[in-house]
Amino acid sequence: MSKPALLEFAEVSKLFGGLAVITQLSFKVDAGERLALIGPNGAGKSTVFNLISGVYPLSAGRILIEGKDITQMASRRRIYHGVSRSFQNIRLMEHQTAIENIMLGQHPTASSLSDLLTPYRLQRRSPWVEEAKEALARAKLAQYAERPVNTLPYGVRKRIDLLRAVMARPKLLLLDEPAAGLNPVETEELHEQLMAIHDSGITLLVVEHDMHFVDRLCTRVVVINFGEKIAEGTMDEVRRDAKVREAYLGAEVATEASDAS
Amino acid sequence: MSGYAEAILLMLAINVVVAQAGYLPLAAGQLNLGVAGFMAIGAYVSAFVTNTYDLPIVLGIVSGAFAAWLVAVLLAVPLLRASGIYLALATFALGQVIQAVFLNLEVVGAAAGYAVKKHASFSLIMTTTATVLALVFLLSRTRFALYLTAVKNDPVVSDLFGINVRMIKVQAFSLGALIAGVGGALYAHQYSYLEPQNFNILLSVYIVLYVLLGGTQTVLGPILGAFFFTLLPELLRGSEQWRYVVFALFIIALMALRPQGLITTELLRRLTLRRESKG
Ligand SMILES: Nc1ncnc2c1ncn2[C@@H]1O[C@H](COP(=O)(O)OP(=O)(O)O)[C@@H](O)[C@H]1O
Ligand SMILES: [Mg+2]
Repeated sequence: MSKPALLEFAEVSKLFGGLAVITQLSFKVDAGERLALIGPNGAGKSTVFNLISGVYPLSAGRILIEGKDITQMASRRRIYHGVSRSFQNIRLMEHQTAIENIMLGQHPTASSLSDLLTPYRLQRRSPWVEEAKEALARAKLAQYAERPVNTLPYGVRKRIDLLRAVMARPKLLLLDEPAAGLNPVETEELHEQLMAIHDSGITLLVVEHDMHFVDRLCTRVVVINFGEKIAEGTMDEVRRDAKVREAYLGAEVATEASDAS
Repeated sequence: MSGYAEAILLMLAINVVVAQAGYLPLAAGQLNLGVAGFMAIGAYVSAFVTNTYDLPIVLGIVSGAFAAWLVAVLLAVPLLRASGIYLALATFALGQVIQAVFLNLEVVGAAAGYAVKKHASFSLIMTTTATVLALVFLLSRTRFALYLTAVKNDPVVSDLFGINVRMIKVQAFSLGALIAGVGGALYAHQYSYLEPQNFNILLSVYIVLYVLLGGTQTVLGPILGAFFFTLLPELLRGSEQWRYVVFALFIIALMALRPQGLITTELLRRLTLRRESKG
């Protein structure tokens, strides 16, 4: 028997008060992949992430991690099974420093009672603080380490949100529009950062609207519209797909129009 | 030291302790308006065991603190289903219930009050206060403190990072009660006479004000808040009729000018940075 997929989304449906947001959606993410989940606004991409991380229960279907059914698993336990995520709307502790925010991501690797009660802020060199600083330095964000995040620019906050998720050392990293709101330089840095994260052995599942970014980063694409899968394959394959063209037509015309202006 | 100065210092010490009792839950986003109730438990239990079993005061304080903690742990699960203003109301009601229980509890004198035989020395109260402050300070340097902030800030995100949100909330609530129990016990052995009315809602409100005015982001904030609230009315003693008016205006001005409280992490950071860059 072949190895089970890292993540399997099996015929999942989700209704919000009678409104079907995800319908019989199935897809797999293999270990080592860089998979993009794309679709027009409101297609249900963030909802897929919320279902994987357990923010909402499913209405039907199953979710498996390495063949293990996690459908009923408490949301809190899932990070210990290798799933962590970033948030489309940055969700950081606004008054805390970059280091402190990132340290939250260390919790799955530092969750014993003695970890909880060690007065690390009195230690000259706390391994946690050092690790957080190194992560910031690798992301070229060292200068922001001690700053409260509410004083930092949007692009920096966005990447602190990402770093926090990476600190949990997940097998599968879910990224919800990581490039949204970044300038071209930041986007390029993000690309390099994500490739480095992938090289360290982390599988990526990325929701993103910037198709150029997706094209460069991801090896495979799943396209959803109105909560249903309409195409799957390489970027070139899905680009030629008639259903995808139809779903994106309105959006694409709009982008071209705004590009021209 | 003059008797007056000593009395003020003792009052200050007890207020500083109970300010921490209000601070811990608030750090996790819980507005506990029942702190006075937990103080009453600590006070009455400590008074009772030292009176009845002739235990040393230190053991009385430990028993009182433990009793307050235990009641908080038992009630935390149902209480903490509520949050925000509903939690504040629930804890307010709890404080009233506890007060009513002591009003009717004959073994500790009910409404007539209860004499406390053992009187705590100045040094015992100061040592206990220092110990509580040292422990809370140590706690504030741990991941536990970070998680209090995380849970207050965004329970969903905290949960997704594997933090046991309910556990953190229960701990914040019950540790606060434990410290209130210590404060109540100190009160009992300092003032030597307990009446249920001593532990009314106004006291709980004052304790919350210490914390809110001092600032909820640091351990230092509530300490300063307690100083302010204890000393200012004394300083204003000169003009008896106007002191509460001035006091109230002061509070309003502070709330308006520094809604985050007197002491914020940002302020401390700036002060330490300045010192470093000078040195
Ligand atoms: N908690 C919720 N309650 C009700 N409707 C929701 C909820 N979350 C998402 N939706 C709806 O589900 C649809 C898909 O939303 P979302 O997953 O955020 O889309 P996307 O991320 O693809 O833009 C939208 O119509 C949205 O209004
Ligand atoms: Mg979305």
